Amino acid sequence: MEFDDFKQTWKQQETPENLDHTQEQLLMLLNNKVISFEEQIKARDRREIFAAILVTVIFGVFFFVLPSIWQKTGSAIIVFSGILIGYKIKTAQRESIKQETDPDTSLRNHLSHELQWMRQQKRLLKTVIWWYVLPLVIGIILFAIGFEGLIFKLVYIGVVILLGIGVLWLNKYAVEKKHNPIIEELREALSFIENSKK
Amino acid sequence: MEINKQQFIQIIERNDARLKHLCRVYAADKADEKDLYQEIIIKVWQSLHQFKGNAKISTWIYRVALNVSISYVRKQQTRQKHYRVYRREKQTKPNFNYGSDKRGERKIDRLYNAINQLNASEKAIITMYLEDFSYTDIAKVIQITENYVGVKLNRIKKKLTKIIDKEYGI
Repeated sequence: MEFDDFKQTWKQQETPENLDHTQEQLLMLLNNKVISFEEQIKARDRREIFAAILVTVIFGVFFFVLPSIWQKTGSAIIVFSGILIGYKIKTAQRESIKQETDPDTSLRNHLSHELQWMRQQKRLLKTVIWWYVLPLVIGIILFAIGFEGLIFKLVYIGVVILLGIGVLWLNKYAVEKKHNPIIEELREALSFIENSKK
Repeated sequence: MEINKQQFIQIIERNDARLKHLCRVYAADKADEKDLYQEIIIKVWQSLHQFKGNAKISTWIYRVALNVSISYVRKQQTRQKHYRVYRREKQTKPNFNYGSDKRGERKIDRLYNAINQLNASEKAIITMYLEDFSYTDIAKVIQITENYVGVKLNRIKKKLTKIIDKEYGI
């Protein structure tokens, strides 16, 4: 296919049927009758913060109610973890909003902001051991030491440690398989434009 | 800019084909294409007050749509269920197949598959070129000089031709 054919081919293409919208459907979109992808993400973040608050409240009550010193210490650490996780998610959200560019900015600016955002997300995942896994696992283990029954206690602690390792592995996987390729892709796209400026 | 919903819909309808083509370029599959289209319409509507009339409305809408598409792809890739490293994967497995096998693919499908293998900036430049935007418009949207639009376009054209030749032996 010669390049001259490309434009002709492009112009002759039919509009995909799945994207046919009536005026009424477009109006529904504008009237917020359709939940946008952005809204879905915000809803997910709200759920995560709600879960962090719930954990904080429940273990805050345990701290005062339970007699065991192990469970009191564990509860205090879990409460701290809940606050830390909520804070981290909220800060990431705030940063993300701050970094959002005007939608009508140039592609160059937009790519640069996207790259910055991705790097920030990568940093967050790479440090997940300090703000998520370790405080939570330590808190839960201490809490479990206060349980009765050695076998149950050991199994419980073993499961918690395995879960912690699983979470760490998943985050490492996400950085390597998701974030790094996207960062590379964005960097490549940006450098394609930036080389033109020289 | 004061535009009511009816007027907005008319503007969108005038630019509809371009937006739909753009969705096909950046989306992963048909379902994604529909979501991206909706995302673009919502974002353009929400941002309309920022349009100051410095450019043609069609160019402005396209610029917003491009930015929304790039963010959408990135968000989908980081969060979604069906993750793929789109550029690399597409090199071996074309994404859009609209009901035909590789041999039976229509010219337009081949073109889309080839465009899918370009990076986000290259995709933006080539689609704007194919949509008949002027070099001045392309330069403004991307933020490069007009001269470089020509240079970049030549490079992309060669790359596209090479991809199509390699994949389809035409």
